Amino acid sequence: MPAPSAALHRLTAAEVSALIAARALSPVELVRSLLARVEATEPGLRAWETIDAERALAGARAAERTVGAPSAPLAGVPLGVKDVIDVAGLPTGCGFEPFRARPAATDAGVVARLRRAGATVLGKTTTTQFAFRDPPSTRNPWREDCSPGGSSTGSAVAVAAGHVPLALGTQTSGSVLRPAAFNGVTGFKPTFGRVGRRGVFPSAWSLDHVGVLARSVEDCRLFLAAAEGPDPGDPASTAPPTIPPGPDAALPPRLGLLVAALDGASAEVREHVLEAARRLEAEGARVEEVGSAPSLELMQAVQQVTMQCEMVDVHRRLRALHPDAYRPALRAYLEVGAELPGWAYVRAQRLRRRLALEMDRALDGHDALLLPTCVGVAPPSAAGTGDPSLQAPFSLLGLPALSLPGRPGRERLPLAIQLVGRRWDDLGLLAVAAWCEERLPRPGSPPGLD
Amino acid sequence: MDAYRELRERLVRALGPERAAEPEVEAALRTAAAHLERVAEASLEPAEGFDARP
Repeated sequence: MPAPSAALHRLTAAEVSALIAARALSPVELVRSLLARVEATEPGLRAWETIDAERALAGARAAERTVGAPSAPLAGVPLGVKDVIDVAGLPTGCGFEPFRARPAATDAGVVARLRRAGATVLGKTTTTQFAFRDPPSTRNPWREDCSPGGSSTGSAVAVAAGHVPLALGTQTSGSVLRPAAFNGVTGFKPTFGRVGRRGVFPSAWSLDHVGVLARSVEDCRLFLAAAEGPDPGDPASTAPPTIPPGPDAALPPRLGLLVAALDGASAEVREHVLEAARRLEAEGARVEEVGSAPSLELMQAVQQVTMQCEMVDVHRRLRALHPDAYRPALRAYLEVGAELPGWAYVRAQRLRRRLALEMDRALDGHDALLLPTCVGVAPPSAAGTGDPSLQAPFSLLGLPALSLPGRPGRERLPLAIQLVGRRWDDLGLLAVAAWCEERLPRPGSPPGLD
Repeated sequence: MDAYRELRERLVRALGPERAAEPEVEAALRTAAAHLERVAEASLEPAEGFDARP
């Protein structure tokens, strides 16, 4: 097969898939090339927990044999999988020492679906311990003294560094969108329940989402098409209901600028979002300020009480068995969470229903909300994995959300905007995001990793 | 309501005063108490089909 002109490590999943279908790219050559890139750059990044070179090459050979099969839209696309998600034969370490030698018997539902669509698992990417906030040793490829975010840390770094075009993450507070923003890649979390979580180690059952780190909005759409659908192993997963048609992808969108989210953001982030809003408006989008949305502080408090109580239950027995294997922040979080009163959880759920209705009303008349993904750029590594306050509200409410990378800021760190769609209107959100993506500056590649 | 004080009393009973005073526990306690207080004070009016006022 002839070699494609673009650098293999910068191809999107859609480009990989198209080149392979046209027999212009060999899946085996692609995997070999990416493995070589991982070998060269991984020591400085530490994005991977396990690389499964042998099976990745076997998968690529199988993909080569089935080129052109209509049921394989991700044929030959290399995939990273966050290390809280099961891949048959590989340990699901969760950043937790007692789990490091415990291989999964089967693929998680989402991994099985992506494999059926043709994806090839390259390996397991690093996670913060149990997807909480104690940072792993993974480095931000833009600036090694800054946090790569978390908890889908390795997945974001692997996509940014050109190791894989697509990687799975999970989000309970902000663990897909925040690392996406800090590493200059696209992050997408679908509506709660749209992608099943069988085989995904839980953080908090009513908040956990499986999402994706990618190089384009189109790749997020490919992920969703392959991954969505009810899974009998996850009672919360369901088929999307019929909803009124979303925005026309060809038309300029109606965006609601969530002004309250700008209040707590850094001057640079605020300036970037307003600059994006002006540019999109100049291109024909209608941008209106949304002043009547529910309080972001209350949504974060409700999300945190919910998460802390649910995490205590997830870890109740494990914590008794391995108290010393827990990282300091998580251990303290669980100890404190165990003392939260029951009424607090009940009250949080009553508030949550009201907040969801209020947010639905705020979204009325808009195709998507526009706000910063994060309050600032990636903080220094010592300061932790970043502030989840602008992502957590949409995990709480289960709304689809996407982080679109923007130009690097003053400190050479990527900036990002967040778009939030109506419940179940994931496709509408992706159409809006694709329209915006075409019209906004991109961050480029991390320095030294072109 | 003093969420911090109530939660700290529970923690001291559960973990002992030494562990409860360690920096990471104290930090987690302060954050949780702030969230708890906000949840406790948020309005649930109008009531959900019943009058739950004392």
